[in-house]
Amino acid sequence: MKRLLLPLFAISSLLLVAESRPRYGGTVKVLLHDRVTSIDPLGEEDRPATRDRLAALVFETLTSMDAQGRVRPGLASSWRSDPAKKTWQFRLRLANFHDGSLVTAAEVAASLARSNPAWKFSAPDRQTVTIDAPSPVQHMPEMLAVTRYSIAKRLGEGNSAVLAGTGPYKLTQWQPGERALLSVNEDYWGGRAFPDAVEIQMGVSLREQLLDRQLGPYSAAEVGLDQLRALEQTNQNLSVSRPAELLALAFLQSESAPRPGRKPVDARVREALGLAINRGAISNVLLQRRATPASGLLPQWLTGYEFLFPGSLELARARELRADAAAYVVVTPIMLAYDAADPLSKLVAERIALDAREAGIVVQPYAESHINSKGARSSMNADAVLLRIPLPSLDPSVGLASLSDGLGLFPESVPAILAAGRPEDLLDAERKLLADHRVVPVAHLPQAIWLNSNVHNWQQQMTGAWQLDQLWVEGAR
Amino acid sequence: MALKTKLLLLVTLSITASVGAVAWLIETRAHEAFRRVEEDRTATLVNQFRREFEHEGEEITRGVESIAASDQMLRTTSELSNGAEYANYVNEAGTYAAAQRLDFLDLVAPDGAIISSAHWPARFGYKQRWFLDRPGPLPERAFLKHVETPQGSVLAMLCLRPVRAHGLNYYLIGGRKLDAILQVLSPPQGLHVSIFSSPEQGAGEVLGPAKEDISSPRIGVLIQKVLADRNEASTTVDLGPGLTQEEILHAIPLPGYSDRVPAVLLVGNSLEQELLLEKHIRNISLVIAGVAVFIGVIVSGAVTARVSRPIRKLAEAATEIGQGNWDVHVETSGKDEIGKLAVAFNQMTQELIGQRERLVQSERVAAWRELARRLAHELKNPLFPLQITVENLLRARENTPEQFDEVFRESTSTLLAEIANLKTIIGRFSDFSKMPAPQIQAVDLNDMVRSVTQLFQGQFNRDPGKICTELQLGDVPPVSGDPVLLRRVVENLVLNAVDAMPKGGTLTFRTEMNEKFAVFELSDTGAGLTPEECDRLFTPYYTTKQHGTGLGLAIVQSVVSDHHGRISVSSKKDQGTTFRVELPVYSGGATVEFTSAS
Amino acid sequence: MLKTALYRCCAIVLLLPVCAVSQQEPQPLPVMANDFVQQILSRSGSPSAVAVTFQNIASISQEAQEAAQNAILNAFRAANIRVVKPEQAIAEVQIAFSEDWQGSVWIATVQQGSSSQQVIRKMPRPQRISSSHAPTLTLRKVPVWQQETQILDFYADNQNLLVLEPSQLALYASDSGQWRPRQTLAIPHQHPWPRDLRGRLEVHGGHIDAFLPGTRCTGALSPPALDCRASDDPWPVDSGLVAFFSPRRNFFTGLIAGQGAGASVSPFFSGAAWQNGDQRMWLFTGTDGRARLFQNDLGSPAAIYSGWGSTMAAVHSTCGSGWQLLVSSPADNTRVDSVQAVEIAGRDAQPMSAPVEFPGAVEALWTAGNYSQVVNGVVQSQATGKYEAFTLTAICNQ
Repeated sequence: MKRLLLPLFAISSLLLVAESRPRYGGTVKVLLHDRVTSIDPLGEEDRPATRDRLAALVFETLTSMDAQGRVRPGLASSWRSDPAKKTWQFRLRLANFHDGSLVTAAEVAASLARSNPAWKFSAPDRQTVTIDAPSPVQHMPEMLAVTRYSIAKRLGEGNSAVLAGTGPYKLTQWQPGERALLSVNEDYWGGRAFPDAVEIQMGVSLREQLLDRQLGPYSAAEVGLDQLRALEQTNQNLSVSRPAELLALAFLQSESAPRPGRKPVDARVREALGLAINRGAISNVLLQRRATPASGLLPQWLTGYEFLFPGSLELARARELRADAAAYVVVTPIMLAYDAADPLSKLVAERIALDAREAGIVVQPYAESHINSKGARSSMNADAVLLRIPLPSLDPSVGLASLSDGLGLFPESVPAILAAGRPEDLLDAERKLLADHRVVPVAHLPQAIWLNSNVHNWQQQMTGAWQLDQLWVEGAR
Repeated sequence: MALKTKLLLLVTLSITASVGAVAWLIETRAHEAFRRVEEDRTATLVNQFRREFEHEGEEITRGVESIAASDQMLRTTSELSNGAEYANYVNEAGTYAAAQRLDFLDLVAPDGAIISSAHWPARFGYKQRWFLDRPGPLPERAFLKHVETPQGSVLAMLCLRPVRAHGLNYYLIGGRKLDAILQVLSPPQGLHVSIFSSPEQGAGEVLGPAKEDISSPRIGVLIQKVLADRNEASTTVDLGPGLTQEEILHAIPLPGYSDRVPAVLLVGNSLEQELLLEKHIRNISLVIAGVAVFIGVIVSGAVTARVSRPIRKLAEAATEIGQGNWDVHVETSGKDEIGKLAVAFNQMTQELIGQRERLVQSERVAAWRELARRLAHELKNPLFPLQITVENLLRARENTPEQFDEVFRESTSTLLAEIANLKTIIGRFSDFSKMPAPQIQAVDLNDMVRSVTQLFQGQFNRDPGKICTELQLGDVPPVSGDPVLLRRVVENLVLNAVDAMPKGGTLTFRTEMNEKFAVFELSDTGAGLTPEECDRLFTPYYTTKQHGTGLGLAIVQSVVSDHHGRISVSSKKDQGTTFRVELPVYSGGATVEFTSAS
Repeated sequence: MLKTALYRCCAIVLLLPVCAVSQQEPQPLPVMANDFVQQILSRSGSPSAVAVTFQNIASISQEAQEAAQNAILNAFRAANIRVVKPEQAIAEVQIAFSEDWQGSVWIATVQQGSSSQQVIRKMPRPQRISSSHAPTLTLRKVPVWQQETQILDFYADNQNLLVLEPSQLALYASDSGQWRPRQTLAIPHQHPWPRDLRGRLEVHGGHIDAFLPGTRCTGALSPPALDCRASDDPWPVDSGLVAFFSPRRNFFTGLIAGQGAGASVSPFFSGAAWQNGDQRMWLFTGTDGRARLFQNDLGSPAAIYSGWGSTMAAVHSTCGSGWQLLVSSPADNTRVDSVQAVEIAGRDAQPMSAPVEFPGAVEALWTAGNYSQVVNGVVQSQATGKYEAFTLTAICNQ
């Protein structure tokens, strides 16, 4: 008889030894490589993607996007727009902020107004929020699902203001850049989350823990792309998203928007650099095939048309352009800043410098902190920065608008992107962003997370965002 | 310069010179001894470096060989030769390098393409052919070479080993930074070792605890010389402004992979100890010289004092005589030159005293002569009319007796007038000889001045030659004096001034306090006096006037002097004359010093 | 039935506009090709002769590519456009078969002189259909209904379909073989529902009993009525098995009511009770991940099994011993789920069927039918996010 049982257990062991029905209780301990200093979804943060992941546990948006890229009701239960897609109305559901107060339309309008001053937000009644955009926004519900549009209530004034969210977890302890403790919101409108708490430790280098197999007490840990291979060889449970995050060179100065102090890098040199980068080597070798070479801003898997942008290695053409530029201007070394806290960026920056040398362009990579902060970038001594910009949405237009915003180079392009109704329009918009070579896409990177076998329903969206609404951990009583 | 000083100087110089000579001798010997020790120390350190260098080379070779022989590497190269993708092995070198503590490790494909680089993972795929293009076999031993890193060229000790798989040669190039060897060395104090790394391209740099400024031309020349000649050389360099910051720098070429010298070993031997010793010797010499000079000064002072005392006394006596003290006698002791000099001095003094007495006598005679002349002149003037009048009387009695009575009346009146005149003259001389002692009481100077000006008002208003008066009377306390005598002083001075201004002018009366005295000043705007006239002004019988006994100012001076006061005159030709009288302030019957505080 | 579902979807379209876009159903290839060519022509001003080149950068097979190419070329011909060599063409059309995460993307680059334009057409990927065979018995899955809103439980007979949702009970009536919405009955509740909300719906002789955590509703089919109140009444688990459900969680507390009232077992997610000859059998999938078998009494378990999924229901069949347990797999809802029939023989559990794969997590399995011959189940599709109600019956292979 026991012999007969074997196949059943074989199946079971293949599909993780666990039970499918979620269980309540327990603390989910998460290790993050990045350090997040503020959970405010609107704050300037060095690690916006990680901050957004944490913020999504505490704050909610009017809509949400599921793993399949479908818009779902969030704090808004329904919505509609005028035919021009300029005026949108969102009907709020009954929910409470973490301080116990009711979510009102006025509060929501005030919160959204902080997120986007360009739009007009009003509250015709207690449960309806109206948004008036100056230009059509085709994908407003998708846009509002982005963490930037999180609904937060400001308690207190000025710097001491505390943000109250409506999400499934409340922020109970916060040590900036070190540790966060989120406890479950018992009165969450969508039902209490299964775990009692989520504990997040930041700034942890996983290499040692992984080598020593000391991850036992942890539920999940962010994993760098360089660690994936070793982890896979030891049959660890890993969740890897689609290559969504954009790794790109952004030139800080341009002819149209010069900054005092530094001269912009000549457009021909910028183009030459784009042609000299061996994207294949970067993605396939340095990033171990986890990344995909990027020629466009949005990845091929999202749009299907990234291949239309040229991204191949053309050294001869690059040398030609470089020589052409040198005939008119003095070609000075390009100071390329990369994120001091990111070894992957360093590796890629060094490779770019090597590749550029082949085309006769001198690129000097150097480490900078706060590279993702637009404010810090404006005072940097660099000509170009190597940025990692997360893709916040599965909706291409929202994604492109956010990438454009994250690059901080083309603020004027966002309305046109949001107004784009057809893929062709979006393709045109992306083409315009890349036209002057101020942005040189290098690769699209996936997000990877290691999961303990006692963690269930940890879902990672294709973009790398966490979807933890069904998350539960074993072993809790 | 005094004789004593000269003597002292001589003693000091001779002591200093002898101490300096001894110090120089010691310093020279110490310098030679130090140089010998320095050479020994340098040689020892260089030998230690060479041993470490070889030891490090062996260790690197062992490390690279053990990687090359490891099962995993053989498996890797076997897989690679079977066509496995290079990409799968891109992180391989990092793991091996960490295990063998190598700073650099490249796994290179048979065609020179880098499969994996521990120190520069981004360099994947780039070719490294320097060892493939070189003729001859691969080097067995570790060698020096510059390694390209993202931070630039780094001097390293490398070992190259092929790994053979399926007839293909893969290569492992591993090594460590050279500065690790420097950290192992333990140079004695004052000695330091560094390495000048000279990459094929770009500027060189110094590894290790270098103190020297490589950009200094002396060091630059030294290094270039060593790089070119491939021979040792040394130089002395200054490291800073201080004297003790000098060192001897030995430069020794380190052989590399090719004929080119990739690095120079720099051994700096600080001269600090030697220079400190030299400084010490100098300091001690200075102290010795100082003490010797001090003792010399004391001793020579005592000696010279004996010699120079009679001379000093002679000099002092001469000075006293110069100041008018003629009662000086110099002791004559001894029969040496100085004794003779003293005798001569005393003789000379006696001679001078005699001459002086003779001079005084002749002056006295002159004064008497002057007095007699004055007296004769004064008396002669009234005598002549007396004589004429008497002769007139006699002639009238004889010739015109009828008119005799009339003549007699006129003549007697003239005679009486002239006799009165004579009496006056005699009275004045009498007055001068017999000035009464002042009857001291409090006298208000300002009141007195006002009263005198009123008295003389008629004279001031004469025509022509009107005199204006100006009173500048300060707040003056009563002075101690005889009001009658003081009034005479003021009147005399006013009369004098009126005489000095025959064409009129301004007479200014001024009273004020100075520190101790009440001051009365009288300024006229007359013709003024020459300095010689000023000097002689108070001399009795001296006068600048056609009529006058020359006693007025003498009496004034006498009175002021009797009042314990002072009188002075200042004058400028054609600008007028100012007399200044200072009188003590009255204080209850006794003359006390006036203080501004009271 | 599928169309009805779409109708329902469109009923919410006004509120959820994206629903209609992302739920495009695949069209036949010629229709798609025709559409695509029309777009190309409208963009390029209908040139009389075009040169067409193809490029495949998607993961589609050679045959599929050829089929698509032919369909497009035919569409050009059908629009009276000559497909010629490049040198004779007025416009050159480069067509790339690309793909995104949702399906195929056809991209045409139309080159006319120096100007070039793109036409992009996206097509959803057809869903794969899986089948499975079982050695002893086959589980037959019959889809009943699908919708966007969560389904907790449902009841279906020939005339009526009742769907228990978190906030309402939806009633549908059969009309020419299709379900037409009849009425919805609200389920008011005071507290927010717990996560992993579960519910139980029983309909007997026109009488409705609905159980949700902390809430009980009773009502009637005709006229449709439902009355809900806060209550911790025990839920019917299986025939002859009634147990208390935790009012703010997703499991039964372990306290048994009805027959065997007063007995207590470990907290469990699912339970089954059946008669094996003269023996009364119970099986509970515990919240600790273990399944416990009880024989005759609920004092101490006769056997404990590990590695079972937590959703389970008993089904009566003519195969084997006559009673099988349909057990979900222990996968969490990030993976596809499966249901397998297991039979308890003595104290051992034997797999009786191959696992039937489901496109997402199996949310509920409840024994239904007058003779427990059917199991009602709910699955949430990972691909569409929709909830699907289905029935499972066991069919013997011999």
